[in-house]
Amino acid sequence: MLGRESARDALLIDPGIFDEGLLRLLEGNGFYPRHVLITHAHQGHLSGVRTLRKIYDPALYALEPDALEFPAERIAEAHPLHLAGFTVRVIATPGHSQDSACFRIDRMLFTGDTLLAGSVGQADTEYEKALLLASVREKLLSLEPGLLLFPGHGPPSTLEIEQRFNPHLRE
Amino acid sequence: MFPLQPCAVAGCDRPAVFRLATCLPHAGEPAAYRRELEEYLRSAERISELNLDGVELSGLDLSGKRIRCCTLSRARLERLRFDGCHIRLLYLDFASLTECSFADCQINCLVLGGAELSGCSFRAATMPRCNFAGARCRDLSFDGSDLYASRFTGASLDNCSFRDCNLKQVRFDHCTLAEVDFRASNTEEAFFT
Repeated sequence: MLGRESARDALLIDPGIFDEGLLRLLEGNGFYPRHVLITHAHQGHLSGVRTLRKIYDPALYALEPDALEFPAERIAEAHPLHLAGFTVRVIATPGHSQDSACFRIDRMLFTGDTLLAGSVGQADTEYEKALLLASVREKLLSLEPGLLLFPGHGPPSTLEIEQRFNPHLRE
Repeated sequence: MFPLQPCAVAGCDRPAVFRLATCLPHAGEPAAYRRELEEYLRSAERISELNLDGVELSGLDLSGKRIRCCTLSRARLERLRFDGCHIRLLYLDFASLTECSFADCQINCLVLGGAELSGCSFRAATMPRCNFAGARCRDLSFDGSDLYASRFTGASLDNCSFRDCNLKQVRFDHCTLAEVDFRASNTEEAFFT
C-alpha cells in the first residue's frame, strides 16, 4: 500500500489477500484504496480484490484487463499513470506470463513475479524463459541500480543487488 | 514510505539525507551532522522513513526502538545495539557492520545484500524474509533465530552459527560456507545448491 500523508487516497499493488492486517493498515491510517495496480492475472496477486470490492470501490489497472474477472482499465508503457499523488511508470515484462508488468514509482520498483530477490519468476517453456530474461535484462537492469525492489514474493532487494548477485542473470 | 527529496546539488542523483538538503557527500559539516543525528536517534522512540545512506555511526544503543522504512545503504556501523528492536523494512545494502547486535529483534524485511558483516549477533531474532544476497559474513551468530524465507544467495559465510534455527524456505544457493554450524536446525527444509 502506498499513500501520501497529505492525501486520503491510497494505491494498492497486487492485493493477493485482503485480511484484517491490510484493513487495519488502511483504516488505521485513514486511507481509501482508490487505485489497484495488477502486475499479472495470477490468483496469488488478485485474490484480495474480491473482498476489497465488497468494501471499497477501487479502480483497477492491468496490461490485459481481459484476463481479469473484474473490470479494469487497460494500461500501456507509453502512458504513465498519475494515481494517489504518485507517478507510475508501466514496464511491460512478458515471460512469467504474457501480461506481466512492473511498476516504477519514484525510487521503488514493483516487479511482481518477473524479478525476485536472487531469482526470476517461473516460466513454463524455454521460449517464455528467454522472453522473461530478455525483459529483465533490457528493461529492468538498464534502470538506475539504486532502485528499491519489491517483488511479489520473498524479501525486498535493490536493482544493484540483483545485478551483482542474482545467479539467474549471469550470462 | 521513503523520503524522496533529491540532493540540492545540481547534477547529483542521490537523495538528500535526513534533515539536510543534500546527500552526505555534499554535506558541509559531516562531524556536526553525525553528532546531531546520534542525538536524534538516541532520543527517538520510533525511527521511521529516514534516508541515512552512507552515514557512519558507532557505539550507539538503540535497543527496544521501533524502526520502520529506513535506508542506511553503504552505512558504516560499529558496535551498534539493536537488541529487542521491532524493525520493518530496513535497507543496509552494501553497508559495513562490525560487532552490531540484533538479538531478540522482531525483524521483517531487512536488506543486507552486498553488506560486510563481522562479529554480529542475530541471536533469538524473528527475522523472516531478510535478504543477505552476496553478503560477506564472518563470525556471526543466528542461534535460536527464525529465518523463514530469508535468502543468502551468493553470500560467503565464515565461522557462522545457525544452531536451533528455523530454516524453512531459506535459500543458501551459490553460497560459500566455511565453518558453518547448523546443529539442531531444519536444514532439510532449506535450499542448498
